[in-house]
Amino acid sequence: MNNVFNLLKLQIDNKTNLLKTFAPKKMAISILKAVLILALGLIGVWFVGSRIFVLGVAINAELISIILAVTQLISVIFCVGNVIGTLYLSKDNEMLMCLPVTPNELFVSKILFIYLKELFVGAMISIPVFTGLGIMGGYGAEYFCSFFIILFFLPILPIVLASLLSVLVMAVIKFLKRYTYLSVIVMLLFVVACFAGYMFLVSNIVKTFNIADKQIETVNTINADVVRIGGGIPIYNKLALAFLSFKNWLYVLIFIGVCLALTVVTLILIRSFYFKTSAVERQDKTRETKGVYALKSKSAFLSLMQKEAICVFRSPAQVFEYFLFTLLMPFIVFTYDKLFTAITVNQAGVNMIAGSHIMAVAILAMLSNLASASAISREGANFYISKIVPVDYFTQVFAKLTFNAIFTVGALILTMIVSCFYYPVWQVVIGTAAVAFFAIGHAAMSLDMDINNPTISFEGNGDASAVSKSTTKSIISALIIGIAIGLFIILTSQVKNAVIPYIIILALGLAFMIRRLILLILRINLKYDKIEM
Amino acid sequence: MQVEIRNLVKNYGNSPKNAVDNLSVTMRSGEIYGFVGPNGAGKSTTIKCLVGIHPFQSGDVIVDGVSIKSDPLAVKKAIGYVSDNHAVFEQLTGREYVNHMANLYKVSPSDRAERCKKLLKTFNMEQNFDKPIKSYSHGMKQKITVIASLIHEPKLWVLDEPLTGLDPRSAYQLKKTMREHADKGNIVFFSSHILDVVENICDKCCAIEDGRLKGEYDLKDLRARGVSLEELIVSEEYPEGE
Repeated sequence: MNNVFNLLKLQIDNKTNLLKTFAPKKMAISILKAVLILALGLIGVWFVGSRIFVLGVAINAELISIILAVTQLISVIFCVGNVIGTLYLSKDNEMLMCLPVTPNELFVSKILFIYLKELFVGAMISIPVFTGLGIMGGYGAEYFCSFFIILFFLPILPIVLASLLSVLVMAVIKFLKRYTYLSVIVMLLFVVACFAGYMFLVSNIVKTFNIADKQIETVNTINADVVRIGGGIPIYNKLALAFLSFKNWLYVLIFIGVCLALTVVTLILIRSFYFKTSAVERQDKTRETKGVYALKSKSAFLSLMQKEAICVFRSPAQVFEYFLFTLLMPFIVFTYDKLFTAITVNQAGVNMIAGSHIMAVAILAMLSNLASASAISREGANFYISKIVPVDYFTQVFAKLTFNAIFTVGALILTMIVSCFYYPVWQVVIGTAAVAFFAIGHAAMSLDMDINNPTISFEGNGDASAVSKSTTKSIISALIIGIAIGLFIILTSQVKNAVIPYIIILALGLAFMIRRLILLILRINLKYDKIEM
Repeated sequence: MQVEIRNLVKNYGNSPKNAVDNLSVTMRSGEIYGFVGPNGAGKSTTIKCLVGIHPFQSGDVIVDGVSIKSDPLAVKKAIGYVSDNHAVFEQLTGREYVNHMANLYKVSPSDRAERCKKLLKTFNMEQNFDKPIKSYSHGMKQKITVIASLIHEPKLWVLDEPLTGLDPRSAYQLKKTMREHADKGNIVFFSSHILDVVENICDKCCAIEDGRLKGEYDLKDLRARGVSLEELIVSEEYPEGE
């Protein structure tokens, strides 16, 4: 048992500083970050919830049941990635299997790690959501006690389902690995299908949200739908009832029993698959890459950009880390616009939405600048190559900046097209240009921070942002700039000529970008050559 | 063609002691120059200053009459470097990495194809060229960095502990390639702990200790006098009676 916990601790320490008791400063920062995220989440839930529930939408067991079911469904989707990443494709398999531990101990430690990861992620989402609901619904201690006990059992069912699904997904991955082009086509079709399905779903939901015209009727319809749908979800409806009263705790005990039984059966089923698949993956690393091509000549700038793209896009962890919000931006903004334009009842609300729309777009765009905030640190032990090649540092740094900017501006253009359906075209175009200027300026600022204080002794792939000292600063500055832009638009929305605030924000964005680019050039001149390994 | 490390001084941070202290070495075309010394003597630091990784406090590095201070890009273009940690971009394939380096050194497509073909054959890497570098063994990573460092036919080829981790055949091929490269009128400068290797393949060598030049030796001369480099250096490190 001791081995299991040692293995678990090893895996946890490899991924997070949260339990590094030997490094109390790092641990304190990680805990502080988690608390900050929880607090921000709670504020967000409160902000959104107070706008929805003030209209008369009821908080009841059925609503809790729906939220529980949706969060569990989302958990299953993400947990498939977690199971595959931790069990089958993890780079630490090889190292851990060499340790003097039994295969079962390793397997159990991996499962426990998956559980803890799901519990942590689930808690970061569930605590703000359910605490917010509890406060807004006026529930007492019974609700909060039940929630915090049930919280520990919520990851079990998604893990069980994801473990079974992951066997199927691994078979698909194995098949697609042999056909590079087919895998790209399948990925594209999958993304397009997700986007189309998502738009269809949101559009249909919003059709009933005609609050601006018929508030009472719409709210009644929503409440009736919630009772009908929430009451019909078998397991989660009973769990939701247990949230509200200890009298219904028998359901929870049954739920826990079923979960544990399913866990045992699933673990027995996937155990042999784990050992077989991870062994094949370790041998598989030597398989020849398809798509042999000639040695083609490129300019240094394009070659550096291509290298950045390959290094990031061949590492799913980095794509997820740096460009998740950029890729999701059109989806998030579409949902936001669709929902809030449907429930807005007056001009002040319309102004608020326009301002918070630009705030959301700006924050999402700037969050992808994590790629710039860790651009130098990410090089790790390879940084020496940057110093020895006969390419000036400006070209090297601007290749990184351009790579980041291409994705941010691309996502902004897609978002702009979506937004044109909800706002005047001039407003969207000027707003997008302003955000693009701020985002590029912020990327330059993030790169500047990383050049000034890089962590290049780091080795490995995928976790650069965890060790780079600049990523937290980059996120905080993105939030500050985004909120400032949004507030400016909201506060100036009463101006007679509506174009003026947007022109001002455009000019400010341009000035910010130029200033940050100049500072970046100065920083490269001053510091880049002095970076040592 | 001449390379000169002139009165080089390198200090890390606020350390009271210089990592490299007033070091001067001159290398001429056609020479293989060995660089020996105990751990922590300053070999890697000197090499890192020479190739442009580390800035230095004073002194200069002059390659073919060009100072690294006045025209760093021209100097870097003349240098090929094999690092001691063999770090490479693991997400790339061998072909992508070598091609990327050829792009950065502006090697023409015909030259890179011809050199690549020859080097891949020399180091027996044809079968692995299109595999991801992350799947390479330590020795294979080392070989791909060697190939990439030679893709622009550098006038000065600098290698930091190049033989560590290589299989006997690859080690032999590397030594042969070093000789061939020097015979073309270029300079090969490498650090090593293995004095036998230095003695066998180098034309000249210098020993460094505590960042200072301890001695400079003409190996042909030593061979003619029947003096072993190993005995010479080890006896200087540990004089009789100690």
